[in-house]
Parts: sequence; C-alpha cells; structure tokens
Amino acid sequence: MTTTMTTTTTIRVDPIACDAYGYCAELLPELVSLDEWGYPVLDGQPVAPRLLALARRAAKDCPRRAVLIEQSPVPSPGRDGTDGAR
Amino acid sequence: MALTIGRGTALVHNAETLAHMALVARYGPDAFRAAGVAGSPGTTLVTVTGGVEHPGVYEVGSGTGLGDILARARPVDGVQAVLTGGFGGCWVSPAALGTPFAPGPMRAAGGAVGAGVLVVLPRTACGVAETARVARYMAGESAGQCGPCVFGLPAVAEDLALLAEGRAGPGTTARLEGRLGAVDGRGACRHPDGVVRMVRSGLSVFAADVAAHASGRPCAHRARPSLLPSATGATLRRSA
Repeated sequence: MTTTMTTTTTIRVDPIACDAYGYCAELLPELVSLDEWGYPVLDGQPVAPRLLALARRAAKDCPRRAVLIEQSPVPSPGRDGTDGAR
Repeated sequence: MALTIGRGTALVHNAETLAHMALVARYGPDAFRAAGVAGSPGTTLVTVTGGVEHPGVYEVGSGTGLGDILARARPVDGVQAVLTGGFGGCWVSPAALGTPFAPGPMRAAGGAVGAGVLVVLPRTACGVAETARVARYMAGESAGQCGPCVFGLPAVAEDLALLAEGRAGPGTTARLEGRLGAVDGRGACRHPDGVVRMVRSGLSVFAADVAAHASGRPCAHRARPSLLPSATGATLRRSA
C-alpha cells in the first residue's frame, strides 16, 4: 500500500504574456514547436531529466517571462502492484 | 451563479431568472413546472432571427422542438440550416429540427442552447459565406491578448472567405482545418474555442458547399446581404 512521491516537471506558456520571441523553441526544440504565427506549441509531456537545465534556461531567458516551469508530485508505482493512480 | 468579490459573495442572475423566481414565489413550483419538460422545467426566452418573417424574442416551454420554435417566427425561404446558441454556437442541419430546445438534447444533436439565439439560414443563402462573416466578426471581438487568437481567427476567416468566393487553392481546406486545430484551446479564455466550434460545425453542415467552392465554384448567394444582425455590413474579407 505504500506509494512514494516523485516529481514531474512540465513547462507551460502564459499565452497572454507570450509575444512570440521564439527563444523557447530555439532552446528546446524537443518540447516546443512554433505555429505559423511564431507562437509556441507544447506537447504537455513531462520534461525529461536531460532537458531540465535547458527548460529552466528557456524560462529564465524568455524576454516576456512567459515560460513557466511547473513541478507536480505524482505517486510512483506502489508495492501492491497498483499504478498509484488516484 | 455565485462568485466571490473581496470578502463577500455575490449572486449573479440574469433578468429572466429573476422573473422566473417572482412567478415561482407568487404561483408556486407546480405552476412553474406546468411548462417545459422534466429536467428542464418552466419557460425560456429564445431570440429567433435570420430568414424569418417575424424576428424577435419568443417565450417557449423549455424543451419545445427546435422546428416548432422557428415556426412561430415563420421562416421565409425554407430552412437550410440553423445557427444555434449564438455566434459562439453551432450550425445544425434541418435533421435537427425535431430536437427539444434544452441543453442536453441540443448538445447531443450537435447544437447548442448557449445564449438562446437561433439564426435561420434560408435556402437562398450561402452557409459558407455566412460562416465566414461570423468568423470575421468574432475575430474582431478578440480581446487581443493571445497570439493564436489575434492572428489565428483572422486567418481562419480569410480561408473561409476564399472558399465562399471560389478563390480557394487546392490546399485551402486543409490549411483551414490545420489553423482551426492551431487555435483551439490556445487562448487564456474560451473565445477562440467557441469560434473554432462554430466554424467546424459549419464545415460539417455545409460540407457539400465547401467541396463545391473548394473546386473553384464561387457561391451564387455570396453577395447576398448578411443574415446575421451583428455582422450586418461585415464584408467577407477585410480588404474587399
């Protein structure tokens, strides 16, 4: 019945703040593509550990501070064999 | 609807709800429930406009059939389609005219109750041109905060106008569908999503016209004045 909590990191764009500078797509093409008007499209998947540093840099370097790093706890698989889903 | 303002709570009702409350208080719940259907009792105010002899606001029992409501306003040139729920609503074909006008059944029929507005598209009008005009109007109603809405909605309206004018290229329909996907859910508010839903319903209900216009045949009815009151004077294209 024990579940341990891990953290997943996702990135989100504040659509009001975003002005289509496109730095996030330059830094993180694995996670961010641009639509035809230059605004970022994210797939919403958790950021892989190897990309965490670049994701933080994308948030820090965004001139509009529109890239948001969000961490949320997720239950990892418990010993009882459940998937830990709520 | 209840919402919190500062440390207090505000209860927000529209005038129709308050009028209903007064009638319930005076005559009791049974009298109120004498109109309407189970799950959606009472009456509702519906605005009927477009290709009808007597446009106006009608009080009907909740759940009255869509076609029965339209009949009260006397459609003039038949019913090719109905824009249900207002400009952020959905087009439905005459197959939906038997649908009870209540949120659940309307949603199941691909329509919407929304703001309680029904616009009748007569057989003598072009659904693609009207959809283009509504999209153009709604693009102008953007709060201008989010890029996909600011740039995407005018692009969607432009593609629709090209279709209605018979000036679409071979890729226009695919580009339009791609743009609808690129706008859907990408704003901070739901305005662009409502426009996308309305346009998608139009592409579905007027699919045969879209295909004909996409192959280069402009619509004979495209120059007809707009049916849609708030879009009156709205040109198909901003530069036209």
